Amino acid sequence: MAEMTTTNRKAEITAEPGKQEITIRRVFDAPRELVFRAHLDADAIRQWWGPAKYKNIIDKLEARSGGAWRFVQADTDGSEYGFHGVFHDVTSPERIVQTFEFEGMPGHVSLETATFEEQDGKTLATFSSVFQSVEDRDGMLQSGMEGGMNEGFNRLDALLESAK
Amino acid sequence: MTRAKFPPEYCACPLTGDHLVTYNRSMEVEHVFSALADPHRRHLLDLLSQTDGQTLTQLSAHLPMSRFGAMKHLRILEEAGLIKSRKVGREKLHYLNPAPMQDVANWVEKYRRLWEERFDRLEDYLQQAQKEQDNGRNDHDEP
Repeated sequence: MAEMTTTNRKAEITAEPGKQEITIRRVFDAPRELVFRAHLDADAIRQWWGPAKYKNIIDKLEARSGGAWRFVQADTDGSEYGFHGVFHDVTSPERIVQTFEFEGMPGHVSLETATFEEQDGKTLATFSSVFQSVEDRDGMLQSGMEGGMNEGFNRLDALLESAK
Repeated sequence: MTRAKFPPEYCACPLTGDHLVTYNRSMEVEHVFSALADPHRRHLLDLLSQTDGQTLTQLSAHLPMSRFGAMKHLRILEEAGLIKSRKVGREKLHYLNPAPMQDVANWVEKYRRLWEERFDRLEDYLQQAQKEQDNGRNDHDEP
């Protein structure tokens, strides 16, 4: 009861009430090195990062411990939204620790840890986000609700059904 | 909680002040989440899930606090709609009401779907990259 976990589909999300953390787990049918690289390669990130309706601009990507990153998501109406942070630890191919901040809400920084484990040729990826407060965490979860209202989930539902 | 905390990455709407009106329903969910945030209140819900329909005296016996403290937590749970109470004679009995919990689960589910969409695209990329890698290998083997 205390834990909200959804496991019915591929990605599993855990958000425990009162905690500042969100954990997401997902298995990818690809070798670990490839999944790891897709998180640090500009071409790859352009293709998968963020919602599809935005164009990803990789402004800065110093994919090493101590390096900085900054991505911009451009809307068709010309709006741009920046996200940035620093890589605290990049250990190939198993771990990336970085900070994450949306420039529209400066000061709300989360610490993101991605770990990649090999499982029979597949890769179990675990993404943990630790926010500065429970409110920040719940706000991020809630944004999923708001985004959900606008993203046309019926279409996505059909897509997910067919992918099963 | 401030409304404008949500990156437009997940929020297609402009960051305007009318969010409170537009997203009333998620505000209710937020209420449930903050009610669930306290470990004593989760303990109270656990107690009721084991034995439904308990009095304040019965419930507060399990909590490391005064009757008044327990009453305060029960009130928050009741306001969030997570429990209901009924007067039976002189006693007030508390019952579990799990419906709002489902709202929170739906909330998390929608966030998960956003990530699912993103991961589907990552998977497309990974498959493409693997194909290119394999082709590259074949090119070397058979020039």
